[in-house]
Amino acid sequence: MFINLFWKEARENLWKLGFCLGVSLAFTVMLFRIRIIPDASVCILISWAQVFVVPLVFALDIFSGEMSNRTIHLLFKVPTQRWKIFLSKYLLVMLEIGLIFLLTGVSMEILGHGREADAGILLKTNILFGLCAQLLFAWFCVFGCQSRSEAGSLVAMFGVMIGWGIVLLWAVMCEVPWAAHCVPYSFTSWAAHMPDLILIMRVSGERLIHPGQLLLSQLTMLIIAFAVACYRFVKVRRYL
Amino acid sequence: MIIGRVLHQQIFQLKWHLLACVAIIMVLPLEEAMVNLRAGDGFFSSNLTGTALLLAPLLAGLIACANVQADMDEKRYLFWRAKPVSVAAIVPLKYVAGLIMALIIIICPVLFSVASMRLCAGHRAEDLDTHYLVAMSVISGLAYSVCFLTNVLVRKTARAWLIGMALTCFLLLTPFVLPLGIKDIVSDVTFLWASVAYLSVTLGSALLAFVLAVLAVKHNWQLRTSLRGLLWAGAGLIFGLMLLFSGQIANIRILDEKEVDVPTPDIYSGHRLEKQGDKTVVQNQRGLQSQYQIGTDGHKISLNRIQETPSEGTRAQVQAMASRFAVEDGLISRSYYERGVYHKIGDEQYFLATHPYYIEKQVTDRYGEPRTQRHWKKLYLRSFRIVQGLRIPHSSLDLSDCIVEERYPHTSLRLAKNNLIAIVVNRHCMTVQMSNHGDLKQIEQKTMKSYSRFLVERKRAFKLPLVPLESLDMADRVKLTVDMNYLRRQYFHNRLNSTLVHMHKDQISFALVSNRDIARYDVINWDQENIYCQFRDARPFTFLEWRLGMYEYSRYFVQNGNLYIYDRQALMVFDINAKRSIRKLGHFERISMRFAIEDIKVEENGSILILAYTEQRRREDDVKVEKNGSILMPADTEQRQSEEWEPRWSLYLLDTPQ
Repeated sequence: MFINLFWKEARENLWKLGFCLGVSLAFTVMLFRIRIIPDASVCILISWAQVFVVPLVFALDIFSGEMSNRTIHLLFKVPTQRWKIFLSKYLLVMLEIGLIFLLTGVSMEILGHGREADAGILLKTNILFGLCAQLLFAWFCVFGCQSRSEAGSLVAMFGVMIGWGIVLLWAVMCEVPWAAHCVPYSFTSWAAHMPDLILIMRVSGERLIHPGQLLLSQLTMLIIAFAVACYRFVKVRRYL
Repeated sequence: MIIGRVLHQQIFQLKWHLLACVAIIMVLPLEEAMVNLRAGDGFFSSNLTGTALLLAPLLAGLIACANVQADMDEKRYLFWRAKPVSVAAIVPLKYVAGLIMALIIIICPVLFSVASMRLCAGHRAEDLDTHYLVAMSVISGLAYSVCFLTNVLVRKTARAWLIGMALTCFLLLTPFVLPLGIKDIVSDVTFLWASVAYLSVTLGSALLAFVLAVLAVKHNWQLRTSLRGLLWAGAGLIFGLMLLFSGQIANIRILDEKEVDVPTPDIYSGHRLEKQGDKTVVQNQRGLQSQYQIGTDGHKISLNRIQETPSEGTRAQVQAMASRFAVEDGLISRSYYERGVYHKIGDEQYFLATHPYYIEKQVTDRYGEPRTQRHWKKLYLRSFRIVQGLRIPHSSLDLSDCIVEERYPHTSLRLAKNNLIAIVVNRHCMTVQMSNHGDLKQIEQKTMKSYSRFLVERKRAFKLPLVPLESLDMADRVKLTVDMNYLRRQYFHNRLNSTLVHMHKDQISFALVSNRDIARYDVINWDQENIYCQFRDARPFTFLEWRLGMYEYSRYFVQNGNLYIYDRQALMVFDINAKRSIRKLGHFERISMRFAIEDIKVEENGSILILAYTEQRRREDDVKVEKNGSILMPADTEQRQSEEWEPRWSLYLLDTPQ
């Protein structure tokens, strides 16, 4: 049954994959061809745009679409646990986001081959930003899994993006390492050619974020986010 | 009565949205104030107020959508239309009420900043620019109006907001990326008029959106949308805008690029591309050459390492001949190899350069402080024979009678026909004949007349004093005259064989670049005293060209009828040979603080070779990291900069601009 649910979600969200991938590749090809800015900067620019747009496109109607079209009634009548319904949606979006970033990174590597950036750095950067996008979506699920309209989803997604931004700002300004480790955006500090972000991630020459601690913190946060989101989705009652 | 009720209803309808928006816009200033308080500076906000205002257009759009959406719901819409309420009255009221609320939101962080600075920091908020505040208010007004209209049409909050914001961005950005795909339309308007026009378009668009919204409500216009279609349309719109933008400023294709290993004693020594016979080499200020011969055949850069190791005999010859250029003790040499020229006679390659010498004296300045002053004592023109990459001292000519002790001897060299070399030292000019064996002999020396290179009224015909070197032919004299007048400021940057003059059949013209435009002048006549010039036409810079840093201090030269202007990050090519008007052929732009065009060379087929300085961030693995994870970073900023960034030189081959 889980496989069926997963395929149902895959069919419904296939256009989003096509849209995000198509647009990402189109912009990548254009910017890598015209070369107004260096390849590494193009990579960061596209990656940042993807971080904010790709999860948003998926989030807009992944849950609210079921609610506003009243198909959630039918979905809940399927003889399977509700958490599996949530998991199918969640897993699909995570995979598709990962695929989009991976393919964009590979295309950047191909287009930028033999040019300014060292081999592998564009792919690495894009994948790190992809992880950031996946985490943002995970946090959206916590707040947006019960939203009834696109507007609600939009607000939830923006809330998550701005909220983590504020936490990052606070963590950096007040030098709070544990908070900096919990912020999804911290993954981007791994990109070795991001001078500005690396600069603010260092306090008195010391690294504010340590890769090992970052991975551990983010994994913990991801599990918490998933558990809360799953619980909230399972507890959707008012439409039944 | 109706007005009062509608306003009351509006305020109650929007109160939660209003509070939420105020909370969002106040987060950053409050956070900054709390951080300042924690640091013991006081509870005030200054720096992040401007940043918070960036959210204002987004929130204004949100207010507009919330304002309309509540009444555009199917049931409520039918209800209030059924009431005897005039659409022409209620919609403007709703619009104005929402707009006032949006403006209140914008004011909040500003008021907080001003009040907190006055109360807690004891001084006025000086960081916030009034123009910025006005600009953000106008943009917010536009965003509000457009979102108001889109929500009336679409009647779905999220979609209406997204469409509204996309349209607002489009309206705001489009004037900057005009001309629409046509490379060569220019706007001959002043900045003031452009600003007024832009403001009028912005406010006019807002007003138009409002009028359309009233009409849409009156006639019940509705737009059916799908998320998929909207996203594709939005992406297409942005893609189109970027194509327009790039079409204007990035239309010279990069054919090939290669990193080149050049001798780098320090990052401050400039490099340039030097043509030595059939070879192009990279040379730095200190005269060091890279061991590469650069080829550009087949749209590819080929770097052939020159395996020309100087033999012991050649080295010994250099040592032996060094005594030829010996000067009296105590004189200090100041040599600029980048101002030298290469000249081939028969099979021999020669290098010519001027060598000034000075002594240092301790003097007291007018403030009574001791300082070192240079006294210029000697000036020589010297020729070197190039053998196996080494410069063997060959011949020397004393030009010391041209210098003034206290004044630095500005010199320039130019190769002319029949192995003649024109030299200008301050006000003196002379011609030197170079024999077939590389020996130097002075032919004549004259004093130049004073001139004024600044054109007060360029449309009037003007004259320039002709360089009085009669041993040169007239074409060279005219060219030298123009370049002496207008190329002077660029001596430190341009190779001296570059010129501003274009000669085509019987016509001689030259181009000058100012902050506003490129002007073309014709040399209409000349006699033994002067040349007579006349302004022909000018081509103003477009907004993007002007904004991206093209101005009179950019380096420029004319070659094959094309004017090449280049700066750190941009290169533009104009056809000044065109009969009708100056035509733009291409634009190469690299927006990066870590990119600088060092030199360019135009190949015979018109393709352009660029030597650029770039910086590459060192990999994290290369930075020394301690066991506890902290990075060993030097405290000194400059040292840290060089630790983190690796200087590199790259060659770019650009397509022929057409």
